[in-house]
Amino acid sequence: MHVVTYKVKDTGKNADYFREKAREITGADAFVEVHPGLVRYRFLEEIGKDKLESLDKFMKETCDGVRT
Amino acid sequence: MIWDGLDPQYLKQQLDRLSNLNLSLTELRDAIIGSGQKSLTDIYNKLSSIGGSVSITNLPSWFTSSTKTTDDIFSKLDAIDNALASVGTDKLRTSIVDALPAGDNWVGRVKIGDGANIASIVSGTLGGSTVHLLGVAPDLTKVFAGGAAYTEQEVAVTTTESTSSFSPPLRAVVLTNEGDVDITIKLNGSTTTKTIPARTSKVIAFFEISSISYVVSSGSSTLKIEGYW
Repeated sequence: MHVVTYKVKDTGKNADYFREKAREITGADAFVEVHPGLVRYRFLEEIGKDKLESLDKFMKETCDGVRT
Repeated sequence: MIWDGLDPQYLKQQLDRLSNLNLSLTELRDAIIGSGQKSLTDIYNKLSSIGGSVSITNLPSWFTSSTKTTDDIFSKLDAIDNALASVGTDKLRTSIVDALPAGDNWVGRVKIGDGANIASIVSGTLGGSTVHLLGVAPDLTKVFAGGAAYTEQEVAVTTTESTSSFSPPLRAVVLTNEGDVDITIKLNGSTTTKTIPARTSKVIAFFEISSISYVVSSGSSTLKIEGYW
């Protein structure tokens, strides 16, 4: 399991939204939880560096997310 | 002419011996055939009906001093015959299982593999939502195999309502109010509220939870969310 956590600004988007986007970007499914100021992905497989950088970019643009 | 005289007493002794010998043979015959009147032919037929071969390196345990008649032996052979028939069935079942290829296998529409389809067949409708009626094995397997399906998060609860969401939905959750103020929660966007008193926990299971909203009427508290996918 590959856990990736971001500190985010709240945008009102829910876990379904982030899960679907992550699937499009990485091609991998994940358990996603969204809490105030935090989005956490639990990928069922290891995510490569390139795909992770793409996810970083998406999170930055969408909710000013910063990976922790 | 030579006349050999025989002592009548001697003749009587010999006749008595023959008489005794005859009695012994009768007893031996009765002992051999037993009360079931099984003959050597019966034993031969029984042995012929048992397929395959049986290697006997030592006499079986049941062959004791009390096993005296062919009836006893026939009875045991009958039991062995039945046992071999049972072993044959078990062996057949084992061979089928062993012959299955690795990975997912299907029995009708049920996939025996990662359990996903088994999980689906124990789903049902409860309170208008599709839920798993049983705590299905795949979930527990994932939990105990490495915690992949478990999450734990503490969130601050204020007088402004906040929401945590989950995808896929949680199947069970433990909510613990770690503060001194009661927390009001709502599940899945419902307007129905539930209260978690200060310093208490609430367990919610067999109900898919995609979101939890929480708020306090005054002050602040901390809500610990432990969830299982």
